Amino acid sequence: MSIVLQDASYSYQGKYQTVRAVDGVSYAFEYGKLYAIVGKSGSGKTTLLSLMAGLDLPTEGEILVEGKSTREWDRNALRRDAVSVIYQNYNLFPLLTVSENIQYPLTLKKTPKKEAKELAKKMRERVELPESYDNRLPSHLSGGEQQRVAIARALAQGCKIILADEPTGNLDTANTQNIVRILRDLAHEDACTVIIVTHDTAVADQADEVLQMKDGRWV
Amino acid sequence: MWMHLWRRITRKPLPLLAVAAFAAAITLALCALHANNVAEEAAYLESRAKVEVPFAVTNLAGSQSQDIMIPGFLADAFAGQGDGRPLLDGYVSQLQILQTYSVNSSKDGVLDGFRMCGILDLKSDRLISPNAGGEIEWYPGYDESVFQTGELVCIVPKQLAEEGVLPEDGVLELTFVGETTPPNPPNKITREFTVVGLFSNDKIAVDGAKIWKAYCPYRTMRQIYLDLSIIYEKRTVDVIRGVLRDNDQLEEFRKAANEWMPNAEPDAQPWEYETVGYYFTEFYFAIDIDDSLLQSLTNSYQNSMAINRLSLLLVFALSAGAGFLVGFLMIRSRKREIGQLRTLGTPGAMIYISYALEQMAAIAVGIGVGGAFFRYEPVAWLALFAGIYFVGLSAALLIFLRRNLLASMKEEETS
Repeated sequence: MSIVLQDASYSYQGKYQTVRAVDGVSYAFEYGKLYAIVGKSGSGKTTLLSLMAGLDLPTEGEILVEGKSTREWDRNALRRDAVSVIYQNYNLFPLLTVSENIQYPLTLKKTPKKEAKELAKKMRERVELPESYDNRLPSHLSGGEQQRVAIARALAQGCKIILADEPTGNLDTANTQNIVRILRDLAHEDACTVIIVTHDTAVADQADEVLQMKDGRWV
Repeated sequence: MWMHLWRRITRKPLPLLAVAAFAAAITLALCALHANNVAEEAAYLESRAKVEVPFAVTNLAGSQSQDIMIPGFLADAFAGQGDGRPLLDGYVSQLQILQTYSVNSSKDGVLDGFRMCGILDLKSDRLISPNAGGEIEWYPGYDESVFQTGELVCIVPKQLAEEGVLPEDGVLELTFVGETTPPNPPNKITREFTVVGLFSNDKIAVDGAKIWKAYCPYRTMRQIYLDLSIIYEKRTVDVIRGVLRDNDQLEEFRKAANEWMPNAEPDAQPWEYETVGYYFTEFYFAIDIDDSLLQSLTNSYQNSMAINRLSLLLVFALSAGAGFLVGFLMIRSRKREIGQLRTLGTPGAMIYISYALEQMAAIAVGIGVGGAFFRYEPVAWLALFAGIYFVGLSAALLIFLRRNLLASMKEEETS
């Protein structure tokens, strides 16, 4: 199992009251599958994704990533080596080129420059972007292209768990299909665990398993 | 991370230029303040050295009247002769001592009752002081430096020459009588004084009943006392005053003078001589040092320095505040970038170092530009400014970088 949720809950202090964003969810995610977590806004799916990514710890219960509780993981190492995250708003570094954005996780791992450049090139090709894009800035790319760069960067991390929060939220139908296809290939061909949080039923339909959340719980 | 830093510096230089401009302005302010301090100190020291601090020996009531009869040994201390206690001559300049003695008789009897005054300086007596309108016609080859010697010379009132009283050879034969302890008879000595000048003062009337005054060197008069075997302790002077030679020695002078005049001793016993009481103990004399001008100058300088110190504190406080504000604004404007860096596993320490380096590079440029005009004086203040700014910046970065990442990203989503 890649990620195991054991009765995980997450509460935080809102403006007027304590909010229980995730309420006692349990599940075991497997490698080689594409999962979709669906639900309305405020259902807790993004919070759950963030907990799985190690951005915070569950207030109750446990989340095991590669067999180890997130409480035991060094959270920088968890985010660097175990889990990749793709966000809706691409979150590329605007001042770095496409190649530099993809190489960034490799610089954190102290990968030699030449090797990092080669690997970035491979990942770029994997997401079907031409070589001429290497020195472009993100502002010069379309929405779909930016999201592909984000996926390439996530791939460069070499993690077997990929979490995507509304990766197609800002894309048109054609680009949405392309992105979902790439993520599905990652799950099936690279034996990754790919978990997509989405509102889009067309995206959910392409997943191997769909999990629905409401008020912080599975439905 | 370092690529980020480089790209930020080269592609988005405006915020950094603003920080550098701020640093340059602060640097200029600090350098100007320092230059002002240095100039003020130099001006103060120069003025302090030039200010005259007059002093005078007085009685305990503060009187400098010529009737207060100051013990002669105090005059000796100021003139460089003493009994083992630290002498005072090294501390004073423009020393004025006036020691008067009556002439018992003279050749032809014309100058009987004449008062011979021993002086070190013309200002010792109003009658001949240039400050009070005194004028002296010196005979060829003589000037006021004669009063620093022990020669048998004197200056006499011009009226004597006009009335034809002066001998043709210009030599006065004068006899002095010294009082001794009864029943011993008084001592008598005769000395020949060469007249070397005539003095006049239209503004001051001569004492009534034509009691003339003449002036000889103080050391000459002192020697006459000794030659008359007058009891040493009974020798008195009328005036001791002068000016401090070096104002920086003021406290040292006070301390040394108090060795000779530890006044305000209420149980000091006067020494009485027969029917006339003379108070010869040093306990009845004090030294009045007029350092009011010096104090005023020093107070003014110290007030100015206090204002400068306050200005310096304000500048440093502003620097700390600016550092904190910049740190806060950096975090606020880069929330998304920080979120993405941390979700990719970038340690918070690396983000802090990168941001801090970026800022300190801008500060260094600002100091480099601003300090060039003043040759980076004072280096310590400029280093302190950079350090204080860094502390303010670090405080903001460390506070806001430690915020919960999930909460920050939620804020970013809803903003």
